[in-house]
Amino acid sequence: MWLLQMATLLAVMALEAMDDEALMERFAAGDSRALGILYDRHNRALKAFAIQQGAARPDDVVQDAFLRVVRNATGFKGQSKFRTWLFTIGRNLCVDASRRDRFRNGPSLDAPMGSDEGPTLGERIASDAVGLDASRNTADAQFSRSYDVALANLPTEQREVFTLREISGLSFAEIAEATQTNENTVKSRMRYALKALREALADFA
Amino acid sequence: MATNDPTTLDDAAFVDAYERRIAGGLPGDVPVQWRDEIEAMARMHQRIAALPMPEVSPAVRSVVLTAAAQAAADHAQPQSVFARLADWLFRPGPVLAMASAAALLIAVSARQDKDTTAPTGAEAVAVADRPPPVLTAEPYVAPPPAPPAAVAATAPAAAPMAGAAAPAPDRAEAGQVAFGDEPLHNAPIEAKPASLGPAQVAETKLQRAPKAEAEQQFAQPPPKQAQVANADKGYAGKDDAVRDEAAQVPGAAMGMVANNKAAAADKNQAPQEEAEQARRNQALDNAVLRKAEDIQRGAYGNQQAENRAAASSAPSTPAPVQNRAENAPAAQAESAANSAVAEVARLRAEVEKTSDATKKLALLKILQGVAIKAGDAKTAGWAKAQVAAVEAERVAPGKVQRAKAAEPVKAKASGASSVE
Repeated sequence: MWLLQMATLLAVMALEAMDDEALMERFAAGDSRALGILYDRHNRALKAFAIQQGAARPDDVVQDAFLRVVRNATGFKGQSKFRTWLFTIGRNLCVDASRRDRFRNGPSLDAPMGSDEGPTLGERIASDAVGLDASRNTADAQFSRSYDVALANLPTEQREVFTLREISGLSFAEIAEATQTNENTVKSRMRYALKALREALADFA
Repeated sequence: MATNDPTTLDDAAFVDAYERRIAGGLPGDVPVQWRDEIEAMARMHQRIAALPMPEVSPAVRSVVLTAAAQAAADHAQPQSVFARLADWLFRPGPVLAMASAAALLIAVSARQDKDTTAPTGAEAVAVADRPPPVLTAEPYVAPPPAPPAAVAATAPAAAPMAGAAAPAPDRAEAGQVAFGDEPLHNAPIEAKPASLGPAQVAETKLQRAPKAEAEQQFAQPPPKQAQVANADKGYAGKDDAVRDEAAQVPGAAMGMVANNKAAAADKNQAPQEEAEQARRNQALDNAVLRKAEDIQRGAYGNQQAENRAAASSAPSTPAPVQNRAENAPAAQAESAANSAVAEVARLRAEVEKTSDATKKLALLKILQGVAIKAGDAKTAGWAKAQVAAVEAERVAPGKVQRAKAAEPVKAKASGASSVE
């Protein structure tokens, strides 16, 4: 019995040592544990990306993105990195969601909620999305709130590039592939995003 | 697509310097003009990286892993060869390709069917390659027993005349039956040459019905292949005249014409039917002419054989042995001669009544042959002259008419000159 458990543990460890593309090959060959490992690696980054893209239900974006990966696993040929593929799917889902939400008569993100002194809807969403932890110290809490607000105020293209680079960890080439632009444009957007964030977070420097 | 904008290139260089710095590069590696800015961004990056990532609901994980387990089971299940083949076949591409190929095959086969049923080519081949049809037939009559070899040697003219050896009344009846109730294709082919003499053929020609009736006989189904083959075997040992007659079995060409006529009727193509009618009439005329030539040739051969037999037997054996085998051909020859004389008279009357040039030509040739056979040299000469005249009129009718018109004028002129 223990021998079986040991073998299973070794197999899982071997899977965890594999890169994303090798895990996809294993999953396509019928090993469902490989997809579990891929999910554990990327689900939070994908949710953070969905939040920064303004998705109303970021968990749905994560679920739908991984279900598409499951359905199209045999079509993945490894021509691009799995992470690029996954975030491209997530980005498309966010775009679709934002198109659907565009026609809803909802309140503005910049409008203050409740009284005039209260936070805006954008600030409230950013706070909820990041999931502020009560155990954080006050400085981190303030930085996190200011960061979320500054990020939400970025243009969509700059926010998309910055999120994919800083949070999801994609290279500029992968971002260019995912957003279907060229790499220099991506870097230019990245510079403007950095500049805007630096100015917004100058108090925390 | 790369850009050459200096601003964009500067942005790219800035970002590359930032990336090198946050990847562990030293501040001294960063260009001086960007050093302070990049250092502030590097500190911001460190604080952002320290922020906790959001947690995803455990329900999402269970949903995804359940779907993954199901999909992995499907992926791991080996697919049968037939299932893979079915999947491949019923993709849109192969289905379209097969449908296109099937449509092409159907179109090609339909085109081939149309070509093969076309009346022009098939009928042309049939008329050109097959012997012309013979419009004579008679009920089956057992061939008379062949004479012994000795008798045949002494009387060589008896063998070709075997068909004409039947008594005159019988032959007359046979000629009437030829276009009577008995269908042509029902007549056994083997019986035809044995009981069919040249005079009899001529008689049946004269009794030929109008063209409408002849067409009905053309429309009869062709004889079976076995019958034709047997006919060829049966006639293999006989002389050329008989074999030519055997080759002119009415069924083959008639059957082809009948089939073609049916095909044309199915298509309701009136012009083709008219053309077919004209070709059939032409084939009919050709058959009559060819038959007449055959008869003439056979009669000439018979005459020569009789002359040779008379020349060889006269000086040596004045009193040959009389037996049944020799007496029967003599009586038959006598009766045949009588009937031939009557036949000549009837044919001549028929020729004089006929106005159609083709028919007249055929009758004249038949009459010439019958007259030669009957020993009527005068009638034969007359028939020959008439044949030449009719043929000349057919070739150049205008010339003949002008010549005829000029004859009275010449006669009048010659008469006037003689008077003067």
